[in-house]
Amino acid sequence: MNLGSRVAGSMSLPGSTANRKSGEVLEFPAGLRVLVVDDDPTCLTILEKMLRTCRYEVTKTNRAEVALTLLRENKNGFDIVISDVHMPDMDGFKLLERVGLEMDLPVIMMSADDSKNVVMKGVTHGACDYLIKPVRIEALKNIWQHVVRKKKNEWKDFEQSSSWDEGDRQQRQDDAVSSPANEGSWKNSKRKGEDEADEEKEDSATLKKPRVVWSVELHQQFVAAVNQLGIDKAVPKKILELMNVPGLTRENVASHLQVPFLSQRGLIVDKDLSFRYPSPLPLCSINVDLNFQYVMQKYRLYLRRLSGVSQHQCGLNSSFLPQDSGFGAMSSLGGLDLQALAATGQISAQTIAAYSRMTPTIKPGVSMPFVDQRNLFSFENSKLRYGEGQQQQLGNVNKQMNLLHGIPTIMEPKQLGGLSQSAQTLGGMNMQVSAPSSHQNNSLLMQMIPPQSRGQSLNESLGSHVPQIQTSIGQSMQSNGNNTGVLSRNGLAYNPVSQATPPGADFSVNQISDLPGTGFPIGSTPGVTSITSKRLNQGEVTSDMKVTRGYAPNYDVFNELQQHKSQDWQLENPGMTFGSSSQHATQLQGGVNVAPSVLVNQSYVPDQRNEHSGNALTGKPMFSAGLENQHMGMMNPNQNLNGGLVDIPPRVKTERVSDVISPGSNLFSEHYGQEDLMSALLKQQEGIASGEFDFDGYTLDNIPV
Amino acid sequence: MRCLFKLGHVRRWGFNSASSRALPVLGSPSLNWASEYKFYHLHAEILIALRDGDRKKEYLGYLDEQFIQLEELQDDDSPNFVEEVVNSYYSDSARLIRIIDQALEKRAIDFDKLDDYMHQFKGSCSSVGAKRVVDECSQFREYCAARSAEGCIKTFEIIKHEHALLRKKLEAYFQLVNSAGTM
Repeated sequence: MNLGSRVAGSMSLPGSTANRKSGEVLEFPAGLRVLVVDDDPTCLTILEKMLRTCRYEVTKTNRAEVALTLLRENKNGFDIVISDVHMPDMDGFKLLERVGLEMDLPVIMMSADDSKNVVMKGVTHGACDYLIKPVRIEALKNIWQHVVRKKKNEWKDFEQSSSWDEGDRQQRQDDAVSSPANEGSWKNSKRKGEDEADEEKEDSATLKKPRVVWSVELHQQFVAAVNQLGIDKAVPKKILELMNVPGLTRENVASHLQVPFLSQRGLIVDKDLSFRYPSPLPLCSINVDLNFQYVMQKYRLYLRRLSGVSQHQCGLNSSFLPQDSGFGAMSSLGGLDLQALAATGQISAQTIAAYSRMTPTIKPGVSMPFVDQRNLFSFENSKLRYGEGQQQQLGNVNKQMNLLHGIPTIMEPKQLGGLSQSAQTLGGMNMQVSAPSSHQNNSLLMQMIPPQSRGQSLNESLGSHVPQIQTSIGQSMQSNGNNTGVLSRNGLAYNPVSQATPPGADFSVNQISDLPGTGFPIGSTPGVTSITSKRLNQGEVTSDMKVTRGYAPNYDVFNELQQHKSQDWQLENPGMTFGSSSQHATQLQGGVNVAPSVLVNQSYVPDQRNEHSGNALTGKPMFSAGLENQHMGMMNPNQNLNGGLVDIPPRVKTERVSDVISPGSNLFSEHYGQEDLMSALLKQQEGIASGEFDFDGYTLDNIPV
Repeated sequence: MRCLFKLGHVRRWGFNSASSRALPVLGSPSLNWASEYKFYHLHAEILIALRDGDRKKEYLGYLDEQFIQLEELQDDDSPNFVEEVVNSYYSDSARLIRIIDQALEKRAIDFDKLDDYMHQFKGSCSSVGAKRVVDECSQFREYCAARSAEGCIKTFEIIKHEHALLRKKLEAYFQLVNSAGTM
């Protein structure tokens, strides 16, 4: 067979535009630039030959790191990536994620393994196709469809989205893009976090328009234009002219310049997939915002993919857990939750942000907490503390919970026990709480929410509740300060319920009433956790809560989050604001979110999870973010749930928690709502807050692959 | 296709082998590969494939359709493609075999790792179409899953045997092909 002329004899350098006018639409399928990664040399040779036969331009490498470098250095040099799943230096799925996030190229996975879980994993990680080895040439002949499809979708989005708010951006962009070549516009990541929060809020608020989506094609045109002008002279105006794309504004171009796509001016993506802005670049608000949005979008997409599996099975979960080298287990959980939640629109951006923050910190081990939490929820058969109505809700919630995938199933009561040991458990508890049912880690939010919504779908409840909660929480938060706020918000649930209220009975009622405006109901109820758990019913909290809670170590996050304004974030753009929200809003949200979820957890627990420690479960979910660590008590709530709200001694203190957790007593009631607990938690959070969440750059590491 | 043509040449030139069958003429280059083809059973006893019409018959030989795919890839730009691939396969698989042997010799066998290695090995074998070896690899993986050291060891011996056997046959095959080509 004869190779296409452009391929014959050429080594198909990535990004070479010698044969092709840069910027012009690719002529499919010939000339498609493929990057093949496989550690098996035989297979690599065969693939290369097959692709050449298809008249594609092939670049091959047997190392994933080399592949990433190639991709980064030739930002526009490839159209599609084909990667083996099983590679010694990097897991294929990890590579898949990175490519998807950083370069947004279609990635095809290959493996000799055709077992369903691996294929599913590929799907959930965002692979656009999965080939079983030995690969036939017929399968490769059609890979161009993925490139076209992606571009088509991007273009569709692009066309649909209106151009950005020109007025707002105009001036900022002018400043920012005065010299695209220099990185002056980039701001230090640290600072960015704060600014972004504001900015993003603003932008989100004002913009409310879909962003311009830079499709591969569009981007190529952009890059071609930039290349033509020369980096130094590539000003948005000229680029725009060269690109000659209808509907594209100078602002779009200007902001795209800032987009991390272009490595020389942008975000640095570390090995562990954390994004950083090179410091110390002054950060123009618009740039930060744009980048942030862009990054968050990517992250969101990633998470969305992860959460897409929500229904999945333990298998998946487990895979998430152990692996996550990049992204902590939590993140997967969190990510999932958030995404799921976000997907449902329930989760506020903040929550997600909180979540995302949390995820980085979460180490694989941490994921446990999540699971536990889930268990907490699940255990509830008693679910009911809330009474029948709630039970229904729970049911709903459970379903919803499935949004979270992964971890929960894995967590078993034993985990809970383990969790209790550490502060983490608190966090975990929360998480778990969220996943009442089975297996999935439904985000705490989910869990929490259901209680509220009697019979409503989780989403609904979330939707309705969340907003409420947020506001109320916000208020209470503010009044109380961060720490308490979290709890208090949730407060809904906390106080009243905690005490030995009969299962179900307390929860619903008490909590809600407490919430509005009350600082911490916690005080009244034992342990903060109670708040969450109890009130979870409200469901409102859940969404928020979820995020924060899951990770014990996340306290910090929450603290951080709370500090930020976050309010705006809520609900803003759940998906997007993930990053941003986490930064600012999250804090607030985090607290809030946590609480609800925590509360929810309690309510939830009902079913499933009873298997494990029963009580232990209850305790957990209840915790809101902050509480987690300390709150062993939180966990109690879950426990309580199981047994019905047993009265848990009000001391929600950590010691208690441990008690609770292990014996599975009804710590539930006790832990909640303790004011000191809250503060303790908060303190802890702060202490913990370390830079894990460092959103400087959107730490996407820890995202489970 | 080309190889077959070469085989056809060999056949036409009176390459007689006791085991060769009176197969229909294949040597014509205009043979429609896709529809129906048969491979000659070479003296070297490499029965590559037997396909009848639209139905794919059970592959009886040492190699399967993947090998045919490789042959189809061979062209003027890479005239020795199949042989190069096979050589690459053998050197890489020799390494894996060594690793697996070592892993099996340990007192405490790590089955997960073993499964991992075998997965790689199997992938490699399937890329060249080494059917019998691949089948044994699947068996090996089952034993790994069952944590049966004995099963693994026994199966691996079979794998090694098949692997070596195939190598001999392929060597002979290439000799034929190359010599046919030079004729």
